[in-house]
Amino acid sequence: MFDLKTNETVIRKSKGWISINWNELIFHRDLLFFLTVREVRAKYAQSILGVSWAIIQPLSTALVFTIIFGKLVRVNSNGIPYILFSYLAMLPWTYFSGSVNDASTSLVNNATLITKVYFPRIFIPVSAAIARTLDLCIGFVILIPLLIIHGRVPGWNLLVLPLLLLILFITSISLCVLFSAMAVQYRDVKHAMNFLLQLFMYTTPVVYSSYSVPKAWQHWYALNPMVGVIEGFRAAFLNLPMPWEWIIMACLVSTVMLIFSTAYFRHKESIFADVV
Amino acid sequence: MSDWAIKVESLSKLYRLGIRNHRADTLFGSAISFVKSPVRNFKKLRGLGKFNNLNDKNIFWALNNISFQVNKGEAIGIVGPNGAGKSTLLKILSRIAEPSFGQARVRGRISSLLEVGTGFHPELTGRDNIYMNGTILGMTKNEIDRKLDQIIDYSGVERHIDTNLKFYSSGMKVRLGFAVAAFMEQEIIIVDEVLAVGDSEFQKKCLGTMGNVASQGRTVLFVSHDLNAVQNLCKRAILLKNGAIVKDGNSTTVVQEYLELKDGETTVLHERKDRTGRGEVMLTDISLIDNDSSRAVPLVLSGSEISFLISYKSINFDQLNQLEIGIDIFGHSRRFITPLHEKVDCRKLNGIPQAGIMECKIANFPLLSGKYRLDVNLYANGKFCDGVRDAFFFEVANGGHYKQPYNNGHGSEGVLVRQDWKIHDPLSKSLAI
Repeated sequence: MFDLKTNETVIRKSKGWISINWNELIFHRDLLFFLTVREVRAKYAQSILGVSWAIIQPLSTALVFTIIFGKLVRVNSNGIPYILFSYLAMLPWTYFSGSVNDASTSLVNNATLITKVYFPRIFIPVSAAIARTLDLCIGFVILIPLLIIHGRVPGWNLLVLPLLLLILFITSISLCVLFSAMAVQYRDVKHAMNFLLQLFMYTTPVVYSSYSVPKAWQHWYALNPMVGVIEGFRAAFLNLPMPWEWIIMACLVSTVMLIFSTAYFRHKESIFADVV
Repeated sequence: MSDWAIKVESLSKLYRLGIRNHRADTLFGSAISFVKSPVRNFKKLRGLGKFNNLNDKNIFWALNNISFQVNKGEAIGIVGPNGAGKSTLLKILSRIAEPSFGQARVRGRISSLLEVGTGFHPELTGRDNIYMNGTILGMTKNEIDRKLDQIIDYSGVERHIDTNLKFYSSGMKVRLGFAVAAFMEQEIIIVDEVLAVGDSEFQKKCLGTMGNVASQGRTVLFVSHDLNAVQNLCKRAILLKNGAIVKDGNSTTVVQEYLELKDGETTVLHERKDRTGRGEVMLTDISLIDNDSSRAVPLVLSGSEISFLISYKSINFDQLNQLEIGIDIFGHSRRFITPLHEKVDCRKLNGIPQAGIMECKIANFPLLSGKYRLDVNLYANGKFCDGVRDAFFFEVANGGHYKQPYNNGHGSEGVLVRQDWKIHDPLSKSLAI
């Protein structure tokens, strides 16, 4: 631990659970910025469509869902045009699944960095999550014409959006941090990721509405913080009643997740260089 | 005692050796073993970072109870054979890996250069990579902004600075990486073998910069196989072997001790494991023959006629069409002296034997008295087949042939040149012959 007062670092085996060293993170903040820039640049380098992929992916998925679940299966979307209904879910969901997917392999992919130089390792999965916010922002731009076409004007509910985004970031970052640390020691994470995210999507109201879940189960269902985020998104943009109960639940669950995953990460951090 | 910068106290580091899996020999056995394998794998993976039973024979002590102290402003070299624990020590001091026992205390900011250009990304431009690499080495963006022009200038790649790194040659990447490192401002700098890359001019530049860093009163820890560089840069050196400190003291005496350690453990050439190359043809033996006595000797006289005999054996090639051998003779402290080289082709010869001896005869052997070592590289059918570092050691004593009454003084190895001297008197018209 580097001590600013005595200008001395003591290097010894760390024991038990270690809290985050905020001073160190602040000292290295420029590194987080450049890691994020690197992540973004590298992702869209040498591609024809470049950043447009950030629009194509959620929009085309929403279109496919509209055809299958909106027209063929006729899932109940509470009277909301299905394309809006699914796109508003796809926006946060694409961010969530994309960042967790990117981050889960991030530490392993950066093994050369981890074994050659010291810096706060948590920046690697976190930068992968931050890099995805660019896609999210671009996704919002497409939302505007979609809303106009369907004649929907967001009202005061939109003020809740920052809180919803915060929950989304906390949830994503905690899983990014958790899975990246697990993948260093257990490569099974890489194989399980796609499949887990797919399962997770079906426990999240992406293609259906949370209100179709039986009342008695809804409390348990809302333990998934993405329920609050997605239903919150729909309510914020379409002026529906805010599902506060779910949002508050999401706040609590995501905070617990963040504390647990950072603690796990810090606990495992010391052996990264030895086992990666 | 004066002010210390690094204090290492009974430091140890354990690693787990790879454990060979039990192999079942029946179909039923393998089925059972397959079912059980997740549990076994889980235990193995979880155990990677845990050491509960120290008597476990699968535990390897990379560092074993090491203590030393480095004073502020001191440049210290760390030498030792492969696997001695040098890199492990540097990794612990630069906080990449944690020690298993003991502790190290470091005063001041520390920066480690275990690799040139850490974090470089091929899709970023040279300029962006300077920021990337710089921040990874612990600089802030402001600091890099201020030094950017100097860094670019030092790297010598100004013209390509806005080109993506993937279009750089490997030399340019190394130069850019070292340029960033050269402008680090941390009080303590840890360097591992980074000078082994790049051309000789670049290496000279790096060594100069390292010398400057040391003379600025910053503390430098330097690991290298280039013993010359260690002696030039560092007053003090530490010799590590099998994870323990063998000697700590003046760099010249430590290097000497290291070389003697190395001399003592020469194994028979064909049993050596530390070889490079693809292995289709192997070097099996090297000897030095004094042609007067026709006997293999460890010591020859300068000026005598000698032969190097290099035996080889083809392992995988059915036919040898071409055989090329390169010997590099070094002085005792691995200062390069001279190369010997030959290429034989079966078109000129009536076939090359599958196993044979190549003889290199040298008349009036022109080396100064001293200790020498040589590296041998063997190419067959255009492929690099075998290379052995320090394959052979020999000694030369003054033979009188070159009429050297003058003692070269330092006992340093070198080359003798056949010479003729005359004296001219500019006042007399006729030449004194």
